[in-house]
Amino acid sequence: MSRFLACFLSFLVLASQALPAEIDDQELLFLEVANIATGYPQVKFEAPSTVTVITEEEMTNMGARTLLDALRLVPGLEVGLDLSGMPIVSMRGLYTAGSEKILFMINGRPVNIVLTGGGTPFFADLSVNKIERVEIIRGPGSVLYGSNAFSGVINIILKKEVPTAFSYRRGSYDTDELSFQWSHQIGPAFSWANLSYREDSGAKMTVKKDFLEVEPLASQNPNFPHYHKSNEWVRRGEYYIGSQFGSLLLESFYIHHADGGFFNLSGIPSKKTRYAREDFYFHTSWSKKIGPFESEWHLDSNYYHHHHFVDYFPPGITVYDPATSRTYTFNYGVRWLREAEILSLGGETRFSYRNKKHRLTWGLVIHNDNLHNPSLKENIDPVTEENLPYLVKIPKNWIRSADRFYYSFYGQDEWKPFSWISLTLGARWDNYDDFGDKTSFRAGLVLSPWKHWRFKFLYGEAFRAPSFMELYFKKCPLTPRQGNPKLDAEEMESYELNISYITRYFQIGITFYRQNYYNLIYMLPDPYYTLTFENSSSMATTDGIEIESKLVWGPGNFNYLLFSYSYQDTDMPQKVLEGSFINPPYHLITLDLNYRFFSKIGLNYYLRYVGKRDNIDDYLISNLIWNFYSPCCVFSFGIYNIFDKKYDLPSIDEQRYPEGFVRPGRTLEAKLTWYF
Amino acid sequence: MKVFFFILIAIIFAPLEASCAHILLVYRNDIKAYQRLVNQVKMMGKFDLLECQLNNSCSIKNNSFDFIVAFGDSAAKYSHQFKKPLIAFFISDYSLAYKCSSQRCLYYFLFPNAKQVLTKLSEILPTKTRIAILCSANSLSWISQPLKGFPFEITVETISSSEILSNLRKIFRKNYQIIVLAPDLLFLQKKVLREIIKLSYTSKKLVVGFSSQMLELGLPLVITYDYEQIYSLIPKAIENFEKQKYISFPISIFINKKVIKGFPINFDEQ
Repeated sequence: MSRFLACFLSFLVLASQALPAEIDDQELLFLEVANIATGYPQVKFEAPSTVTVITEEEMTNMGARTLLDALRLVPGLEVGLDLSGMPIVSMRGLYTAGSEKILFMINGRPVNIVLTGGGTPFFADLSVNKIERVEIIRGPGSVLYGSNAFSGVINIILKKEVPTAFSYRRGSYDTDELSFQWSHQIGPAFSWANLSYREDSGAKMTVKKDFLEVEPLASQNPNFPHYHKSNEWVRRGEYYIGSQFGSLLLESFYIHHADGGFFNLSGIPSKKTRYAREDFYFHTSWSKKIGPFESEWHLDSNYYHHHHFVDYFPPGITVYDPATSRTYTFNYGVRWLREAEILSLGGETRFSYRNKKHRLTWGLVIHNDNLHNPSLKENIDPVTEENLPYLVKIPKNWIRSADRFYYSFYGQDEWKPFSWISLTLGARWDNYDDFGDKTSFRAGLVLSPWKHWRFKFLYGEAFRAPSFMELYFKKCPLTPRQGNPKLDAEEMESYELNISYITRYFQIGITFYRQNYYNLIYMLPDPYYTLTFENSSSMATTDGIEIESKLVWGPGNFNYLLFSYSYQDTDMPQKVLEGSFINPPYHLITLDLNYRFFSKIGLNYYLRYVGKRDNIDDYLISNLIWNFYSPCCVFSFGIYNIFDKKYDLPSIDEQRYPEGFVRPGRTLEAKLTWYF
Repeated sequence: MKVFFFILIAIIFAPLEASCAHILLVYRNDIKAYQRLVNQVKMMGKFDLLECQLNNSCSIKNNSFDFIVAFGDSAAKYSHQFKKPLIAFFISDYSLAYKCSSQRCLYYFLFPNAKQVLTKLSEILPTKTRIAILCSANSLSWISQPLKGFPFEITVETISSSEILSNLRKIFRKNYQIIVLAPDLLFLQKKVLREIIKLSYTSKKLVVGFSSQMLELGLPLVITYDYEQIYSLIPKAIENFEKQKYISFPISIFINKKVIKGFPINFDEQ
């Protein structure tokens, strides 16, 4: 049975416990439940991981447009941007280009793209219309989920059983989003579809300073086009469909995404630049239960198409290359097109056995990733280095074809000798054909000595396999980064203490943690300005405190106050700091107040404070959302960044963009969802 | 004199010994309430008790007991095999009642039935109120008796679990004033219950729940048993079972007064 179905059934299980709850003391029954910590439903305060759950109701109330908006509720989670304008999600201060240190999952299945290792290219800005809830582990999760579950795991549970509805969203910068959702029981098959399409012209923000240290408006060459505005248009479609026949689940998810980037590599955007990618994911699962034994079988396949057309350096520009001490003039500007395809196939089988005090889980994972058909075209002749008005194929590719096969074994025991204590132990062994094998362990002791108190003592290990970019990227003069096939996996260990006080109307959890990192991959510059990926031989650490609380009151429990605070102090070796991109803020504060008026009108105020960091000022933004609810429709209107605060997000490379990524000020959005 | 004294004692105690019934207690010991009730029965000191804890080892090899006391659905199901008189408490599966003759088995349900709930509602609601009873195929048996004679317009809406969110919206758009939830696991799913609460508020349609927990979660009105009273009545019900007597458990209306003000229904203040 798929993990999602298990999750669905878990509500039934909980519900069946609710009947005796009439005559028993189960006050905590209606706290948020998550599957993510052990693979089975648990109240998040009793799970052997530090877990946050974001519900659909919270996302709707706060006017979240994409998953990124919702993720900002998570303590210790920060959002930045990479050079192409792609969001970077970081947790606990560990900030990297492709968000590859966080594992994204769809309905419990890992979906990170092996090219960059991250999941943000497709899933960070997923439309919230199709999300039922999001479960997040703050900390490691490799024992269950393998590579990339390093500093965090984000499990996106998509809606299946939905009322038929159509929604339209219109906002600033010509943002339009259409969504349609449907589900129906046809004979033995339950089927669903959730489709959405979004267009966004993007904010036009002034680029203050670029890579070449040239003010675009004050360009020395009067013939330069004045590309002095950012170029963040987006066209994106997301199509999720599936069917369930008893315990057989079939689901597929197709996403195509294209955008104009933010800066291009010169910092002078061109309207022609187009970053495009598409991903087709298919998953099927089947489960069988015999007595105390249960088995789950999963098959996953993923096809990824990478298509990045970059138009940078306006025609006529002169560039000095410090590596060769030469000066180049590009009469036709510089353009390139990089393409590649990745086909991933994998399977997992999981068994579990449960008796009175133990639940044993063990499983096997087999997976293969194949990168093929890479191609590079540039408008520079590879032999004569002549600048051409058209693209030609470059024999020396941008990345080499690659193949990766790995298999893994894992086991986990949840032991509950008494009702107030539970101990979870787990181990996993992964064997990769490119860098070797890794073993990860976890241990979690959860105590509930008093009715409202929970104490967690957690230890976890995680690893991250190097991405294909880090292994096989080939350098070229314009992007002087070079892969390193000798890279080893990154490793980490985490120690956490969590104390929670929970009642039905008020919950608060405080987590103290230390995370040690080994073999972190960073870019080491050589005297010729070539950046080569290397493993750091020094240990890095992050120490932090996270507070997460929720207060609920009023009729229907519609009113609530969410509050989170996190302090994080990262200690990185100097060379990692120089060659990599660690620049987390010390303080993050989030507050979300929701209040319901006259039963039909809701008001939500969201506030986010991001503390100061190197070269980037602190900022505080707040959103105000009105929601009107009725059985036939939901209408919402939001003012985002109501005080029109200008703020910068950190960029991947501080040296290149000292101004950070300036973000738009106040924006407006309206959304109507109509239920049929 | 001594002989007379012993004979007198024997006469006094002999009937008592003879009346001390052997009963089998079947229950899940991981539910605190059942443990509490078992202790209450033990404290009565009137029975020879044989215990069967379903989630521990339970192997009853002979039928040397007079009748069975079961707590919960699973205990009642387990008890059917013995073909002995059965008194079962906290039964939520109404179909169990059809599996045993009414003369041999006596069921005290976890929730009052539809007729009892509507009778209670008729004490507080004005006449001609349009009421929908919401149930699934599983809980249809909750409405076991014809719902006639009530001063309401009553409609039974049966919804399927697979499309419940969609069906709920359709039902809440209809012209009902009150929606009564049949006791059903479906409505205790967190997602479903939350949707019902949201729709109830936004459509201003009063939803009557069956579990007192629902009151705390946001429903304004719940009609169910007062379980604290039931605790004290269960020993009496067991005693009466020997005498073929049935006692009725009191039904209460639980109202969240702050919440209910927002609904356009005029209640009888009494």
